[in-house]
Amino acid sequence: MLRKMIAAAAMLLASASFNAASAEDIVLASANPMTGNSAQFGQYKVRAIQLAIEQANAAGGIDGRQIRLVVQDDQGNPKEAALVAQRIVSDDSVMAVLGHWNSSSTLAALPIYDKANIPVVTDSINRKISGASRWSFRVEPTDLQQAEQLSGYIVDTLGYKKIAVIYANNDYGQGLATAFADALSKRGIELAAQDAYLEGATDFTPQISNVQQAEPEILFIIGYYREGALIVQQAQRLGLELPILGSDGFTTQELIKLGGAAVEGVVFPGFFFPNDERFPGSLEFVSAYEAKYGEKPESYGALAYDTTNMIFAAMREKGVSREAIRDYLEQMDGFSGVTGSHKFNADHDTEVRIILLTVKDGEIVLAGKQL
Amino acid sequence: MVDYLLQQLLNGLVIGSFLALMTVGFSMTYGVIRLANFAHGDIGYMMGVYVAVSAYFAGVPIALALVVGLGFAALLGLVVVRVAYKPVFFAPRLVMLLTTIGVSIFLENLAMVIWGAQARPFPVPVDNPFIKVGSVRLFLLQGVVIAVTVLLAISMHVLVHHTRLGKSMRATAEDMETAKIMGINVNRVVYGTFLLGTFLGSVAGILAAVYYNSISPLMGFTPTLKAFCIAVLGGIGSLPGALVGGVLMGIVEALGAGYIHSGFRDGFAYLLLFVFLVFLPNGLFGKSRERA
Repeated sequence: MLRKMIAAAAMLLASASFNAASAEDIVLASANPMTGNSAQFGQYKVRAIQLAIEQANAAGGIDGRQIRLVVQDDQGNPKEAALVAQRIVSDDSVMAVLGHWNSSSTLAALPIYDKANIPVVTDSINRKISGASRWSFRVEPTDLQQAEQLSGYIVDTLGYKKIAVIYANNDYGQGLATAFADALSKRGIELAAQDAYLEGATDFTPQISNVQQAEPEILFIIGYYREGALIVQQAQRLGLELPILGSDGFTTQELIKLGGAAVEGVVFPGFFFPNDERFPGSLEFVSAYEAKYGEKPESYGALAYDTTNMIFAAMREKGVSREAIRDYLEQMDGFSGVTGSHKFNADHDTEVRIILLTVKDGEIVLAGKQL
Repeated sequence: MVDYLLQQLLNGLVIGSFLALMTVGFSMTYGVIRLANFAHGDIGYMMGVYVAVSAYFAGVPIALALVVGLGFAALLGLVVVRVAYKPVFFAPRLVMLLTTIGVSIFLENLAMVIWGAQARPFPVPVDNPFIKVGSVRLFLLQGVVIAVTVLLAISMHVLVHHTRLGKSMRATAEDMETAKIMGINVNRVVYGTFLLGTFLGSVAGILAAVYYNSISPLMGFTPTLKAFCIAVLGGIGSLPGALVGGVLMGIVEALGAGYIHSGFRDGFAYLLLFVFLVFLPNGLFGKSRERA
């Protein structure tokens, strides 16, 4: 009994002091994949968020308060994402959530944040997120927007009509694949082949043989970098020689580490690239990021950096509260960040456009042909 | 048309060979102590590869590094059985099962802590020439994978049925208590089985890492699940069953994906298991033990 009481008292004391220490800080939460098959994106995001926080703290914080990040790992898994969301909403000090990255995770977690009235800024693309919650915002074009832009790129810019798709069988892949097929059929083109795979798979030869059978002019792979690198390598092995377009899940240096020479020339959409100088502040961001982490930032890091600064701007302008952040984001009229100018529409989606990137000599560079 | 069928058959044969090799090791321990070791893919398949790759990065020549990986995996199998499984040998089945899942989660997370969560390429590019048969390309590595699988399955079959160790393995499988009374060192048999089984698992892992040029801390999970299905499908503890079942499952996957729908590829594999469970519950080569 005595031991129990001491333990309880100690716990109370510990939690009290914990609260006292953190009451001063402004807390943001990152809910992204830190392990699992899309871990790289979560790490890019967290690094960029932490950089933005460090810069804001060095400049005196917000209203004299320091900012602190709580990093949660949703493993890119919707089941885990729901648990992570529960954990986050049980903490009243969290002002906003940055995440989730995977569409399936965002869809699983959104209702929980919505109920708790916490602003969430996601970079998942599935269309079901549009207008799903008054509290959620999206900084990346939806799958419908991307499908429209990419089908235009393939058909009008590149001039291909026989197109095959291999997609990941999850909310992200299915969403983009159907949107893409619809966008093509509006242009009077039917897909030559359409094959699916399970995220986490290693062998894609049956799918690639199917594609090969259809003799397409271009292959569009919808998925994440790990599977993307494997599909490209196996396609080459099977003698499938054709241009390959990847989806935004390819947009990482990791694709090159995994795919090596095989991914040279593969084109994929993104929002930022390591030597991007299109927008003011980009160069400073790149050099600060490189100084801190020893490598250059990429699309999702840059987006997360902008998102974090957007939330800071909201708190500076409207005050430190969840409502204030939501109101600011809703009314924001062109926030200029390193990935361009952001503004949310009635569905809380962004109007940022994709750029096309490619791998050249082991580096991610702007593709020769743009939209 | 024929070329397409041949290509899909070859795709299936390679997928199936990996599955079969995985199952041979899995099935041995499953057969001897009735333990569906869900950490099989983590102990051998995954840890063996990671240790080999680490050894390579530490400056060990690649051939030697692979041997180090294989040896480490076999020893790890021994350690796991001694530390984690031995205490629950005589506990209810469910406890053992849960223990193996616990070990699996532990090893996967350990690997993530040590080596990071990301997938990595295999560090040494391997020359992989091919010959053309019609429009189908036959690669050297595919031949190696198939040959190693068949060879190891046959030698394990010979070991189990024509050696003294094999005899004691079968006796232990039949009835551990009676085997002990007959003077068989049951512990040694169990440890030996694990050592061998894990070794085979890590051969499969290293071949897969080289062939697919990819390693990740979670690489052992799905193959283990499939190995379990194949072990049931081929007949528990049956090594020819593991071989035939694995290849069957690989080909069903490839043809199902090729001719019906690729979205259900793994679905076809598990459907096959379902059909077997309903119509042939003892598997292809299994004999009913429950009656004994």
